[in-house]
Amino acid sequence: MIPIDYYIIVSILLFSIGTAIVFTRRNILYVLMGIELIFNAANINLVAFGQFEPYLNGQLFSMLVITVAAAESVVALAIIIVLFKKLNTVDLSEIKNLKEK
Amino acid sequence: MTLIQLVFFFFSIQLLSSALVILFTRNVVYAAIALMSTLLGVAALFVIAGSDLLAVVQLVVYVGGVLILLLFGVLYTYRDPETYFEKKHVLLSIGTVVVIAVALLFLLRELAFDFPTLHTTPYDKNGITKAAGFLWITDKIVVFEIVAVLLLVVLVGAGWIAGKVLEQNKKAS
Repeated sequence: MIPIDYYIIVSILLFSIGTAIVFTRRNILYVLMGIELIFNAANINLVAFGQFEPYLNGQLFSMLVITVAAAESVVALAIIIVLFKKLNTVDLSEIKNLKEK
Repeated sequence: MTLIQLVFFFFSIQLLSSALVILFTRNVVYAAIALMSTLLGVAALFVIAGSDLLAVVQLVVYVGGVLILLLFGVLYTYRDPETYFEKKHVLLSIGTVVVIAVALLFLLRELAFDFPTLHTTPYDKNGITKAAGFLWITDKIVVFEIVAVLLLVVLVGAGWIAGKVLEQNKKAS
């Protein structure tokens, strides 16, 4: 059996890499990928702790997280496409307002 | 070191190194492919943790759905990397990773959770699919319905946002 600490360490490293991507990147698509990595780190923890629980709360909640992440990603992509059509850029430092000038 | 631990280390190294590729690459397409590798590694960790159903959901939803959407977005907004030079913040990236990871590890040690040493067998040796399906439609049906309504709202909303802009563009041109 894998000790639960190993799962936690992998999840901490994945979370910090995802956070670093969100902090340092300027392309909005990289930021989206970093957010996906953070979601996955949370899921690893949920699954690792819910491993031996007879009512499967960890796994079912983790499935909820996956669904919400998919929905978030779809909406974010719709917004990105709208922004790209209007402002012709995906650079976060150039996007300053949602309204058309 | 047993075989299962070797497999665990292999997949964790694989997923962490592909995550680092996302952090350091300048090509967005490479980053999307590395994200696929990371998600596959996470699915493998789910299998090792005994929840095969969740691994399949991860493959279908993330690798099959979200990643394709992301690739569509990447290629839709793609520009020549030379005209779109992104300055590399290598030191800043490494610094952020190290600082957050060390802080969380210290927090973990400081809290000193009394983790249960899990030496029993997983809940169901045949996997969790049957039990999870049963629980979804009995005890956890509220969550199931909330997710269904959320997905409906997102579907309609995303289509509305994108469709309105397309219509406006058509009128403008």
